[in-house]
Amino acid sequence: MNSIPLFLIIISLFAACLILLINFLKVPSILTKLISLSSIIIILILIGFFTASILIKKQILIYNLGAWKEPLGISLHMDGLAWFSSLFGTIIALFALIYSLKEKNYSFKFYFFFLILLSGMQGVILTNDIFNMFVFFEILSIASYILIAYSRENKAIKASFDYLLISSLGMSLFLLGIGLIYQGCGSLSLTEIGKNFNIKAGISPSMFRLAISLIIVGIGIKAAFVPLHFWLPNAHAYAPTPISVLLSAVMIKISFLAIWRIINTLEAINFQYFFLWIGSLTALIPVIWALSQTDIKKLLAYHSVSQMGFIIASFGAGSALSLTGSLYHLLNHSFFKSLLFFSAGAVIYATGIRDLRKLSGLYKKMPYVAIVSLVGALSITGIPPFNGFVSKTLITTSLKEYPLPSFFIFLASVGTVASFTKLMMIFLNREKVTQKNLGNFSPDKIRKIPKTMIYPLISLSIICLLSGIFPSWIIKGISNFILLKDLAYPLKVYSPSNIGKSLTILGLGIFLYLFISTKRGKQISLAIRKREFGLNNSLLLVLAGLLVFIIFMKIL
Amino acid sequence: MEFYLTFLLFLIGIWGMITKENLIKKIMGLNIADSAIVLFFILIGHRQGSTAPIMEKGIKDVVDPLPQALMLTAIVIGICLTALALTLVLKIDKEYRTLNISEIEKLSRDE
Repeated sequence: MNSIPLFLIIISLFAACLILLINFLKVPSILTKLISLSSIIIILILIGFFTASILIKKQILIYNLGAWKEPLGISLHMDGLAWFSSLFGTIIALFALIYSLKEKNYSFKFYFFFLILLSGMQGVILTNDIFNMFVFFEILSIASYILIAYSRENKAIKASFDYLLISSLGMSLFLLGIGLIYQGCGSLSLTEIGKNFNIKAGISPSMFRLAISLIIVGIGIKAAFVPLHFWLPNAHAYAPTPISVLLSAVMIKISFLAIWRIINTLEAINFQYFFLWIGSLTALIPVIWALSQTDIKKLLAYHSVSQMGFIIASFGAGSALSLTGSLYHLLNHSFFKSLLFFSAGAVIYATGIRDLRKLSGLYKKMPYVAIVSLVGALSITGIPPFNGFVSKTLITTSLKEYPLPSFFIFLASVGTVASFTKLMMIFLNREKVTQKNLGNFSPDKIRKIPKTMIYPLISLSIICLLSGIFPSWIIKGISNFILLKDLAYPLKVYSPSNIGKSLTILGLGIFLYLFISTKRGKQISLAIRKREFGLNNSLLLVLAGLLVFIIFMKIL
Repeated sequence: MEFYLTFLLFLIGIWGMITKENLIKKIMGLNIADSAIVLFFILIGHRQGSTAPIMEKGIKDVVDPLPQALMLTAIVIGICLTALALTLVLKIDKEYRTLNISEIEKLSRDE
């Protein structure tokens, strides 16, 4: 029982090594897929059945590696937050794996790195040792660099290289922060650091600020905070679809939860207010780029950043309601964003085209995909009765006291509606577009989508609908068992004013879409689309972000 | 003093990463920054006049061995990253026929 956290990490690691071993023996590739599937299912069973009891008892499951107790050794902590993130991460990974079975003929290397990625992900959230967290972050990132470049197309390789360089700079900053913390309190275990490394314990405030800023910026690159997110759209767009899903739906969230955990243990409450601003800007700015994209997966990738903004801003407000909203939106976003990426992948699989302008009239050819994409689009735009509506309502209610950030969030929601209207237009018939732009696309050449790609789509859309219709269970579960806080007042999500607000956003969004589809709007989008930051500028922006962070901390 | 020098080395590395156009030089910059961090950790553990932490009779004043152990891990990770980055550079060279970042970005821009 106690050693379950360890097994969560090593099962997939073991399976990965097994895959590598058996592939020297020229076995059929079905065995590789079987091993990876069964290892993920075992992990899911371990999380779901054996450790769910810690939630109910509100305990922390602690496993000391090598039996060395905490200040000296490394220990794995499984609390509510870790349980939650480990569970949704594994569920998404299972869907991604099922999806990948028939999508392409992936070699065993794909499954090997997939499992390594999973293992690193579990490690990051379970470990209670900050250096160990760094190591797991590196395992996770090295696997993801390789998987992004898997297709070996020139853009994918370039995206992977950019990500490698930016993220390595971030990890160096993180390591520097760890060094400062170790110098300050002589320990690496998070609980011990929480006790010894704060301003109350006599650590000089400037040192404290510097260390935290370095750590937050270092991990924030992976969690796609706004000036640090320029690697993300390319990397997520040009990766193979199952990997895009895993990166967008799980990896950036895991990184954010790591920040959550560090801030919680260090009691850096001042920093939380800063996240409100970062979050609202993160929600707004990428939407402008997303509106102008023509690549179907790149549009979704920009929206991943933007939705992270909602989560971060809500985390920044810091009340029990807003933290619940943040976690709930995190969960919902990982479901509907994976749904959207899967359906985008299915469209690309069937037609071989990823340019929105060249696709049209797909509803007749693939009605299933059209319907599930509609579910995903309605969820992400926050239309009742889908899950996005519930969590966005929680977020907007909790941000009421902060007018400017909530205005940014409002604008971001409008932009989201507009760009998803644009995305959904590919399923409708557009006579004007069809004749001019279709190029090499012809409706007869559509490939049939295998069933293993349809199952994840359908089950994810059912999850999106169910968690939208019955929100109170999940809200209560998150606030009582994971955050260990009671929501102060009974919340009514489906009130007329909330529904009215979301319909207003819908109307404004469609209006914005009509604007960007005019000639003038298209010129503006072209100008924005060309204004993408290169590698050098992104690296420079990381440093600039760090400086802003440190200065802002000083003011607060 | 040593801390400032380490910091200077770190800045040199980052400067290399940001300003150099050649991809391999960028990776070198990353390596320099990493080495600066390794030095920083070693400095944290170091104390003037103390010896290696091998516990024999009569030894009282030892350096903190933990940063050194951590840095072994960090160095190994750094080597992995460098190897991977250089492999990617090789692939980029094959695809784009250049190692200059601004030219590569011109070639890979969306239409």
